[in-house]
Formats: sequence, structure tokens, C-alpha cells
Amino acid sequence: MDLANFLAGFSASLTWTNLGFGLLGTILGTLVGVLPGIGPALAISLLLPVTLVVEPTAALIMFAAIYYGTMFGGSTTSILLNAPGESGSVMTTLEGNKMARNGRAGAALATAAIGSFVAGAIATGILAVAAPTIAWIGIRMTPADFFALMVLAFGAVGSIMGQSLKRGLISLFMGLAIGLIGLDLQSGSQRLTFEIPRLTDGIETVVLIVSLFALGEVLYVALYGRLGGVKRNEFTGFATMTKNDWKRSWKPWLRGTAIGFPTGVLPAGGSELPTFLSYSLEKKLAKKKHDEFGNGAIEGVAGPEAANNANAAGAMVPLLALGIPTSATAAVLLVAFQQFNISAGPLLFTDQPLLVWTLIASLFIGNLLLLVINWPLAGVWAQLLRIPAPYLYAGIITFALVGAYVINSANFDIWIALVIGVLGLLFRRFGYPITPLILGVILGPMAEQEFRRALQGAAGDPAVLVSTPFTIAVYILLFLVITAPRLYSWLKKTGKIK
Amino acid sequence: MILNSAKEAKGELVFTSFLFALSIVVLVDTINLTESNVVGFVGPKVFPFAIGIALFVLSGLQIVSVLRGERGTPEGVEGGQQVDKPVWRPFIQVVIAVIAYAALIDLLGFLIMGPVLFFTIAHALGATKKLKLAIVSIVLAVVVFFGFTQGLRLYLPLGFDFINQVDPSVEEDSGETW
Repeated sequence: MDLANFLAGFSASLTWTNLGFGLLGTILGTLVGVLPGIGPALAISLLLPVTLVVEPTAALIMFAAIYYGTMFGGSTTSILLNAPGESGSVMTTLEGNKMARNGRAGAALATAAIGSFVAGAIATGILAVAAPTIAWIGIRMTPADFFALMVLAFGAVGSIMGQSLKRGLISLFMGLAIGLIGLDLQSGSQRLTFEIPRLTDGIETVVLIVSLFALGEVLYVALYGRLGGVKRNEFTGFATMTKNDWKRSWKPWLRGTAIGFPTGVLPAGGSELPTFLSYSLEKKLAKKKHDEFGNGAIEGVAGPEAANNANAAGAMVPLLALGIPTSATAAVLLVAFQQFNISAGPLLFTDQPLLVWTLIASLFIGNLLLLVINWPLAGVWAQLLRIPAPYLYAGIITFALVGAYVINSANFDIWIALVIGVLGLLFRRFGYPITPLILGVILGPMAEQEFRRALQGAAGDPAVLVSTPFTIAVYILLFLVITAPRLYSWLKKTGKIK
Repeated sequence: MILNSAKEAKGELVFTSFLFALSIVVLVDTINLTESNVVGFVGPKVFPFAIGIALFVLSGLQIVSVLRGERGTPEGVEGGQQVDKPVWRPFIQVVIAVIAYAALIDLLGFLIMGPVLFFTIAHALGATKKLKLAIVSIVLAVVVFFGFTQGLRLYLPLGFDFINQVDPSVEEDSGETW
């Protein structure tokens, strides 16, 4: 870790503006995490218009705090409502809700908040050490290397997310196709614009994300949902843990961190996979001691909750050091950087050291703030769950359409939002994952640029794409990521392994 | 039950065919692309062509899978239950609310269309107490409007521009920027 820069970042993060935006981000993040139907990617996209008016450091601090905050807040909903507040909390629901029904809501909320804090602190520490090192490597990477990494991100997210490889990849290529819309900057050709002048600039990322997540979700709920009938567990007062709870929690916290961080760094598409892995591991390990799993085992809350926070911190590493997002939320954060004309990536640490170190320092502060506003105030956040679902969804749409409008002050964007919203509805109905599409739209144009650069440097010889050991290693990794799980389940099915 | 799943299969088949059709759109657009001033070794056609081909093959394979009986699992609904049979009434109300909002926002302004949007959607999704809902709609819209226009200094239309007579020449000018 670069100590001098880190300390400079720390002192810069302690201004009233930065602390204020950090606090605002943690509160908004927790709010978004608690409320069902709205996740971190959507929340940050709804707030992207503030990049037009707020200075970069403060805005990025707020966005990062939102990312961390949703991971904290999501557990509240999982534990008190039998529904996850966002996708990283699905696993918490299994044991957390059972605990709450047995009158142990307080312990579940406490282990979730403290575990999130521990994981966030450790993972942010590793981030501060690892990111500059990776950036240092990043500066020495060729365009072909970058292109390979992007292909890895595409392939991994496309194959991990969703119920089948084909569905994941179709979603990815739909995203890549949408990313083509507009003027090709290098040649001046118009692609997929159908001679509509408004489409020359492409589709605004904010509009796209807002319509896929917000409008798509609400249209889906309207068409295929029956709201209400969800049982809520009451919780008031202070969340506490017994000595035994502490004893049972600390190891799962650390194991969750160990699973969450690397899966955040690698393009695994977000927090679904690490929380699932952590839950399975804790279940397996606990089997020897007790059979509480399924009836409210605290390990099943502690592990996944630590994993999803460590995952969020892990995702910041490739984002800051290489400019490559590994989840939908990281992709939206990348757009935030682009709005400021700051290119996230290897040069960030040399060009904007103060900004990036202030951001990292703010993550530590935000993590601490989150512990403070989540642990003692868990009972207060629980009150938010009284908001009736129809109000919530109507509010989401209102904010979504405001967000879509203010970017260009044009109602054309609302029409686009409606069209893409219907696509989002259909994706949900027919089991297509949304994340690969988002990644395709945002990373696609960057991948094309690196591809062109690579071939430019090699006078058009495609062999350049596999010219370095790094590229070969990445493509082998990609092959393994796609084939290994399938091989495993095939072997299991045929009974070759148990 | 059999009828229902047959209908479901048809829906998924239509959607998958739609994706297949989109791949053809991408390919046709790419073929018709005029490479006006190509600089460098990779023109503007390479990427779209690869994407179009990939989409074409994948969605083609997916159509075969659907015909063979593979079905997509619908996503769950947060704060309620997912149902297999579509409920058209609330859906149409939501769509109409969004269309009305898009069409009338510049004319009537956010302070009118915001509450209308919120009210219609919450009502369509099952909020019953109309008076309470109306009050919440208006308060929320006012807070959002002033939060954005005063707090963040981002433009939201106040509407009713037609009351103040606009100089027609100015109108024409602004129309020509596109």
C-alpha cells in the first residue's frame, strides 16, 4: 500500500462535503437495501444525474457508499420479511427468516451487521493493497490483454448467470447489440440508428438501466404478480448477540470474506454466487456439530452476509485498477466515472491519486458509518418494511422516469425507456438474466476499441489476440470457467463422482 | 393445465423468435452499412457482424430447445407472489400511465403528471385508500420537483408553456437543432 497517498486520501476524505456525501450514501444505500424491488445498480443509476452537478470525489464517495450500504441493508429485509431486499441477500433469507420466527431476529440482525462490517473492513484493506499493484501491472498490459480480460468478463458473466448457458449468452449479445447503436466514433458510420437522429448518440446508459431494472420490474409485477400476503416478523429495540452467538459467528465471517473477495475480483457477475458458496460451506461444516440448519442457524446468516460485503469490495479492485466491471453495479459505477470524463483503469492511480485514495479512505469510513447506522438502528430500518408494496413500486417508477428525463431533458428518452422496459419484462418472464445484458452494453464499446487498437498495432494480424502469455492464460481460464461446472454436474449425474 | 403449458410454450416461442428476428436486423443493418472513411484495419462492420452471427446462432439453437420442451423459469416477485397467468388489467393501466406521462410531461409539467403517474400505478398495483394515496402522490411529486429543480438544479418541466405566447421564430430555431 502506498502509505503517503493513503494518508493524504484519508485527510481529504475528512472534509465536511465528503463526509456528508458519504453519510448520505450510507443512508441511501441502507434504505435501498432494505426496500425490496430496488437494488444497488438501480439506485446508483437513478442518482447518476447528480454527476451533472456534484463534484467527482463527493459523487463517487456517495455511489461507493450506496454499494456497500445495500449489502448491509439487504439483510434486514431477508430476516424480517421472508423476501430478500436485494439479490445478494437471497441466501440470508433461508436461515435469517427462520431465526426471526424463533424470536432470534435481534441476533440475526446483529451478526449480519457486524459480519458485514468485519468483511467490509478486511476486504477494503486488501483492496487498498492490491489495487495499486494490479494497476501497476495494468499499465504494462497491451490492448490484446485488455481485450482478453473483457472477453473473460463477458464469458464468465454470461455462463454463470441465468439458468442456461444459451440464455446467459443471448442476454450478453443482446447487450452488445444495444451497445452498437449510434455513431461509430472511429469511422463515422451510423450503426443500428435506422436514420432516427436521436439514436445517433446511442441509448443513454441511465435510461437503459433504469428501464431494465425499474420499469421492467414494475411491468413484470403488474402482469405476473400478486402483491401482499407477505408475513412480517416484528422487531423493535436493540439487536444483540449472546456470547455463544459471537463464538459461532466469527469463523463464518472470516470464511465469508475469504469467499466473497476473490469472487468479487473475478467476473462472477455479483453477489449471488459467493453468498451461495458461503451458505453451502457453512451448512456442510455445521453438520458435524449440530443440525440447526434449516431451522435458523446463525452461521447461515453470518457467512453469506460477510461474503456479499467482501464481494462488493472485491469488485472495486478490477474496476479501479483495470477499469473492468465484474457486476452490474460495478458497471454502473464505471459509467459514473465516464460521466466525469475520468477513465477508471491503470492510469487512475497515477493521474488521479488523490481522488482514488480519497475514495478508498471513504470506503473505510463508510463501512464504519454503516455499522453505526445499521446495528443500533436496525429496529428503525425495520419500520420501513411497513411501506405497502404498491406505493413502493409506484415510487420506483416515478424516480425512474424522472431520472430518464433529466439526463437530456427530453421525453424521447421516456419512450425509449418504455420499449426497453418491455424487454426487461420479457427477460424476467422467460428466465433470461439481466446482468450480462448490462455488462454487454457498457463494456462492449470498450472491448471493440481495445480490439481495434490491438489489430492496429499488429497491422491487422489477428494472431496478436493470443500473442502474450497473459492472453493465453486468460482464455484458458475462460474455458475452465465455462466448462468446469458443466463437467462437474455431468460427472455427478453419471455417478462418476459423488 | 396442459392447455396452460401449451400457451406458455407458445409465448416463449414467440419471444425467442423475436430475438432471432433481432439478430437478422443486426445482420441486415451491418451489411447495408456504408463504410465511408475507413481508418485502420478494423472497420465498423467487424464487431456488429460477429455479434449478429452469434445472436443468430444462439437464438436459433434456443428456438430448437424451446420446441424440445425447455422452459424458462420466471423470476420471483418481491413483496408478493408470482403467478403464471398474466393479469392484464393492472399491466395495461401501468403502460397507459407511462405513455400518458411521456406524451404530456412537457405540456402539463411534472407537478401534474408526477402525481397522476404515481397515483395510477399504485392504484393499479392494489393500493385501495384513494384519499391517502392522492395525498401521498402530491406530496411526493412536490418534494421530488423541488428537490431536483432547486436542490440539484436539474431541469424538470413546469409545463403550461402554451400560456405564455412563445415567439414563433424562436420555436422554429429550436426545432431545427435536430
